[in-house]
Amino acid sequence: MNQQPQDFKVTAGNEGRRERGAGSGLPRWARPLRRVLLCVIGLLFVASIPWYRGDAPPARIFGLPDWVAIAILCYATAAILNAAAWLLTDIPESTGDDEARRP
Amino acid sequence: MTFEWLGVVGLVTYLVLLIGIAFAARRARQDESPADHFLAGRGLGVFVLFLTLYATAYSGNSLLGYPGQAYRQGFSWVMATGFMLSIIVVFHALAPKLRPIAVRESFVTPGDWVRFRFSGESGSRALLLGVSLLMAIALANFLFAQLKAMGELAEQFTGGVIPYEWGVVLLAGMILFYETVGGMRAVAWTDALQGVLMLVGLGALLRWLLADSGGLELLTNQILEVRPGAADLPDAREQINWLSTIVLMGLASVVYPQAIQRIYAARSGRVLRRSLALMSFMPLATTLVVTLIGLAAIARFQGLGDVEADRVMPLLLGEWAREGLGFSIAAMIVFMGALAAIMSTADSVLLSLGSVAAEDLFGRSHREAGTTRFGKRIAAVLMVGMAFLAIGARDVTLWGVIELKMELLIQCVPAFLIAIHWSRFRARPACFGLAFGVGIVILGLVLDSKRIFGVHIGVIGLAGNIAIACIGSLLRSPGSPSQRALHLP
Repeated sequence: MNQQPQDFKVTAGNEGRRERGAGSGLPRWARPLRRVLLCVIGLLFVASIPWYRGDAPPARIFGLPDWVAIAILCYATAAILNAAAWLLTDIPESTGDDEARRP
Repeated sequence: MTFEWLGVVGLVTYLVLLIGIAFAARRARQDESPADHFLAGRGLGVFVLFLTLYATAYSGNSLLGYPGQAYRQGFSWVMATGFMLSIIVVFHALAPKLRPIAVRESFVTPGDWVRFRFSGESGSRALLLGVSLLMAIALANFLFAQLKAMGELAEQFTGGVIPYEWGVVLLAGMILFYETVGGMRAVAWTDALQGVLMLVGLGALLRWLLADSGGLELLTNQILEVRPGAADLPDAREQINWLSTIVLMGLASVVYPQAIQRIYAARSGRVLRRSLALMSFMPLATTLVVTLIGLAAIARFQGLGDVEADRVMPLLLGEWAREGLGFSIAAMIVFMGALAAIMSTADSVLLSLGSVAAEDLFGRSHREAGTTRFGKRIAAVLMVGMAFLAIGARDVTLWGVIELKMELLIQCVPAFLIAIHWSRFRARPACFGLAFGVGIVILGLVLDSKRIFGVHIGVIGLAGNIAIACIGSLLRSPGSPSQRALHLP
């Protein structure tokens, strides 16, 4: 098992990460920005479904029916934002909570 | 040399390569422990982890089932790109919290999390068995789909020189061999090779299809000439189904045992997050590409039945190969890529199935020396059983098999996603919720009512499952042993 040195106190929850600050290697604004990105991704998923369309025959965008092209555009944007969100995600090697270990 | 014999030569070359990788992985092993066999000693780096995640996530379903479904459904199958992306998004809710606990507690199977999280609670054993059983059923179902797809491809690409049945037996035997010899390390290394083949092959096929059709605009025109309804706007029910499919696939895929085990197997948290960041682009590079391939098939092959539609990819490759020797070789690379995708998923599924059955269902500890051998034996027995089933039940659509698996697997979501975020979540209510969700799915299957107003029966079952589990947990007193151990907020 690759247990890493523990440079922070407590937990699987949020408090430990707040205390850790620089220990995570990510700037302070990373967490709120990540949340915003995840919210935008959720909205893009909803926008990818053609709820907004009337009965008019579809126009063409890049040779595809417009609602198909818009869905692809939403997914492409969501993919970029999701990659950014992952790079802003802190995945510590340990919860750092020795007392919490089970026997 | 004909394309059929080129197929045989390509297949044999590929299998010899896999044997070499298996022996190399065996030489690289550190010990005989389950952690080394099932998780490659928890040492996968960014490149291998990314490619193994990719090759495992994109399977026979993606390479044969999704083009087939695009052929049947038309342009609205663009939803597949969305639901494959949703998997990587939903991982945000699980991986960052599960990974550090898994490292600290040396988890090997998904059941290790359930065992740890609900330790000391009444109902924890029943919950572990329920979750593990559902995972084992989903994995067996998944394995069946891969074996079926492997047999189809082998027959198509060797022009019947290797018939479907022999294709299933030969390739299943090969997977069993390299997995038994090399474990997760062999699986991950072969996945890396298979992932590269898949990417290169699909890109080449799409390029040919677009060039041959004169571009996207003309391709769309050709599709609409043959089937004017293919670009029809989805009606309200289909739109609800679109959203329901994103929810179903996003949530259920996150609790795939082989996906969870890759969270455990990463060398570090940084490696995991970089691999998942790269995975964000794979739905565009793969699912969207196979969707366009399936759509292109509408213009080329008319009147294929439901089951035959799953063969549009091999049919397209056959047509491509007839254009000349250079095209035959390119088609062969795609064939290898498709076969690689299927085998890479099958091997990961088999590895997970062996570990889940040995540890979570039969109660073997991953600290026992004989567990690895026991897991290998179970995997072998299951592989033989599934191979017979794949030979006997050829006429099933791949998408139908996927949906059934997801409807059941999604019922495990509360035991992972809610339990990891909410410390008051309890085993007994979770157990009742799980039973309710599975009951709803079975009822839906019995009544042949898989969707209600476009919503999957599994998603409806999950809503009831979550309601029962959460209300039940609120009604019980706070302060369980697991809450103290986890220090969850």
